[in-house]
Amino acid sequence: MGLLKFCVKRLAMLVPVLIGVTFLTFLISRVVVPNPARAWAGLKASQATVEAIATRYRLNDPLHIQYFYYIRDLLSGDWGTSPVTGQPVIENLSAFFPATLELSIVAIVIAAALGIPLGVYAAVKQDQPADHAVRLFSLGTYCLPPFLMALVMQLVVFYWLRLLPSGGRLSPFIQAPPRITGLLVLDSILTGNVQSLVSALTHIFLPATALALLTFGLISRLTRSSMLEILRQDYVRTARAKGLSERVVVFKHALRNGLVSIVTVLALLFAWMLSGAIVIEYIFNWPGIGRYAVQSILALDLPAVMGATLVFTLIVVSVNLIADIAYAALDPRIRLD
Amino acid sequence: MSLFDKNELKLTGRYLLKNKLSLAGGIVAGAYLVLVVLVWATGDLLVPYDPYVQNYAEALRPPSGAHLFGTDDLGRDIFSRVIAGAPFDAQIAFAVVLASLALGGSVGAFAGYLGGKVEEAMMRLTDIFLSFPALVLAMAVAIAIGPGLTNSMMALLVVWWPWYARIARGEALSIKSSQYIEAAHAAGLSDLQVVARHVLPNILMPLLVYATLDISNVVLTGSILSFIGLGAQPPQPEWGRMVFDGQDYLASAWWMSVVPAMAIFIVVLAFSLFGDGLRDAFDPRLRRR
Repeated sequence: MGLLKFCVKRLAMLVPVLIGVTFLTFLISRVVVPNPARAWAGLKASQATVEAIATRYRLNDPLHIQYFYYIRDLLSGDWGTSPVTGQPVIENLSAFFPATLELSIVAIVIAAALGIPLGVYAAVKQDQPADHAVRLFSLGTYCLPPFLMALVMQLVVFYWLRLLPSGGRLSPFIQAPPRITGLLVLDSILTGNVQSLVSALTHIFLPATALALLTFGLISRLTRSSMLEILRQDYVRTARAKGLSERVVVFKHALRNGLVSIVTVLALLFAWMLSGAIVIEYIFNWPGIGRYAVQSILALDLPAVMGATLVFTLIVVSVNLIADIAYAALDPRIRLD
Repeated sequence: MSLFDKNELKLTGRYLLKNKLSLAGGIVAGAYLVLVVLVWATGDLLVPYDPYVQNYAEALRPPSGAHLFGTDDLGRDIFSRVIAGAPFDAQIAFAVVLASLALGGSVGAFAGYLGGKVEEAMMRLTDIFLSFPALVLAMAVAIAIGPGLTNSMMALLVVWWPWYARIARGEALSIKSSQYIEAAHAAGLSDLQVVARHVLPNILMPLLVYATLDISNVVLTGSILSFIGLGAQPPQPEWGRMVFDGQDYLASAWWMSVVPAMAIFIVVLAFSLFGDGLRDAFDPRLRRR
């Protein structure tokens, strides 16, 4: 099967998933909720507002008609209005999205930079004390509640050592660079603004490291198992028999082949990472979708929470799509089934 | 593998004893469960201070001989609250895992046994649930039905059962064409009877092993739900909620949030190590290393 045909087939598989996902969010926000109109209008809304909301979103119509209009509203960008802030949910979400994107990218880069070498090291030292130490460390970080990681880092690095700022994206005394991509680090580089670049980097370091440490245990364990399998292959034995140095065998022959599956797994870890980001963003006061979600939950703001749920899920679904296509492009065997 | 194969269990036990990390995890997890039962049985008799009574004169005291883990902003003893709060996470974990096991296990067993359209439908349905990040779906359900301990367990169940359905389906698929299943069918048992009497008992062991490993995941996700305000409500001494209440005092009284967070970490790590070893022990390929 050609790559193009694979992409078309993979995209077609997306349709039922998207219908299912939106149907489930629809059910949660319209059927599971005891009183949908009241929940969408806000707890303090007047009876007239509640009725207006019921008419506006056709909450008294049969379910299939409600779902039709729900999808139509989603596609036209009407994701409801937050009863707490009074702003359209979609506007809030797009304002907060770049911060979450920036944090996740930096975190996954740090996680990969730490996790892959450690996993390779553990595989090379299989069943030796170093391997067990890496296993325990990986499992330990995997089991860490995200709030423990974030609070301890904040306590030690900010309150005790006074090394880095405790939260936010930029020092309040610094003018943010003009918005090009919304990613502050990138925008600072593009506009050549050294001052805001330094400030953005010092602010992102703690939350991104906290998020990375939560993920890196999984990466190092997956790297280890994938490397163990590869190191037993014939071509690795051949490379050793040729007299190549162990370093060349491990890094040039084994790791290069292992990277294909590791990179795919990195994409799948995104879902895991986003869950961590919800707590990390809140504790570090990072103005992303995660913090928005927690603040909306604390305010019992249903439209905002459902919006954040959809965005998080769409991110995961699209990252999985990209990973599948990248995997198929790198490894032709995948396209066969 | 049947549920009560003595030889299998003996081998498993021997493997676990050899794997010291898992054994340590098992001991800590066991100690936690004993504590849970004790607290449950005796109420607040075990703890030095009443976990609910406020005492402003003693507020925000650092850890000391009198208050092992310090006190919170309302002067309540953190040590007493952590001990009194132990049963919450166990309750969440066991309720969610057992309910998912029952619901997902039977749905998956039926789907795998019947095959065809039923199986296809179940797979597509679980696909949808698994497209969501677990925590995100749980928080959407929890906010819809309202915060609270029971509701957060319901929300977790909605997210959790599809995994069990997937595993049960795979296991049912692998034993479906066994002779004893065919024999049961030939003897005139209905599909329901075959699944209930022959399929389910035979796929229970792998599901139980997975469930043990899964307890740590539920505790972790459940504690995040409570942290963001969707689980147990104050003044209940639930650990995740205590972390949330303490984070505003991080600079002046770090013990308020760090101590309960450490408690969650220890329980999650213990069950994870134990479950990990248990899984390896039941995998014959890994055992004879």
